[in-house]
Amino acid sequence: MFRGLTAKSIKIAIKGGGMVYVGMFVASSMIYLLMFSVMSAFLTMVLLSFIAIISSILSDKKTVKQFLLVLLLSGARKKLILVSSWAYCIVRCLPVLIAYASYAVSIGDSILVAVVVVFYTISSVLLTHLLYWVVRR
Amino acid sequence: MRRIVAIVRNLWKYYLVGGRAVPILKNINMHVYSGEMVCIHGPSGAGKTTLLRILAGLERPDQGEVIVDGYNLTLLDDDGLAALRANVISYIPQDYGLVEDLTVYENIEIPLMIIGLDEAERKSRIRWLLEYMGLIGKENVKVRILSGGEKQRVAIARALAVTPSLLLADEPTANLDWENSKRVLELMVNISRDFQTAVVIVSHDPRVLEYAHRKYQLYDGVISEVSQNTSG
Repeated sequence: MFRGLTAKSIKIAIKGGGMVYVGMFVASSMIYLLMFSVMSAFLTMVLLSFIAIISSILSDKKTVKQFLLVLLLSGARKKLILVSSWAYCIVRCLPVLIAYASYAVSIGDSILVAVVVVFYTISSVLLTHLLYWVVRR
Repeated sequence: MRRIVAIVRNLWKYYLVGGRAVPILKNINMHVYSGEMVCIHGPSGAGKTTLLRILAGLERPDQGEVIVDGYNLTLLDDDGLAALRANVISYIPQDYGLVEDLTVYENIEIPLMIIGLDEAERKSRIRWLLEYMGLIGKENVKVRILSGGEKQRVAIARALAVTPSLLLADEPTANLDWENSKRVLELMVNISRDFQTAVVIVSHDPRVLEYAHRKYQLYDGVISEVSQNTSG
């Protein structure tokens, strides 16, 4: 049950138009970081990426809302809805997470890698609860 | 012998408007038998959707009780209500309650996944539902490109997937022309007869009333039964 519905959630996240925004943001920010090696800009980029991810979810909000609503109407428990929406959010965070973690590895900063991973994990969990709260209302 | 599927007793619901509690539903009492189609008719803003959402366990009443299939909804927590929606109660919202970016098959599959059917069982159940709804050949079509009438039939198929005791439909004909509306209403009557499901429809369209076995009028939060015809 969890596996099947999580797979559907991942499919919706990948095929949604908002994924293009995340991809474009990752490409442009990585070009900037790699060309200019501006370390101080990195943390700003991480914060900006959060806005990019929220924008990408908002651009697909109709589909996300419909999916979570169908889960709710079909009798999914809160835990299942949260797991499905977390899968959606983490897929949307994944391109940024991989790109920035790779960047942090390339400059050999293990603390930065940890900051990046923790930031996106917490962000995706917060987004998950926000989505559930919006749909439940 | 007919069985009572849903009972609503002394139900009150308030909404906060400008910091003041305004009653939306006032002392609602009603019941629904298995195998009958009940229509709740009333103007916009009368509280029809709120009543339906309370029957579906999506909202809680402020006073009174709702009993569906022997379960008192007012005593259940969120997971208990979810379990009822998975097995006993199906709700079709006015905008169909479907994921437009998924196919017809994938939409109907969701409730069957939630109750834990394996893939082979899901496949045969969906095949049967598509035949019953006249949707064979549409299984791999995205819901987005279906007509309003087809979307409504997919929504009914999703709701019927688990053979609920209580099927609730919010304005099922609101977005359809009269020809498609008649088809959907005949389908609802057939469902109530074939599966002994209690079907509750809310509508502001008076033409819907002629398809119902029993009718309630909801006006300004007050409900009254307008007629009582036998339904078998």
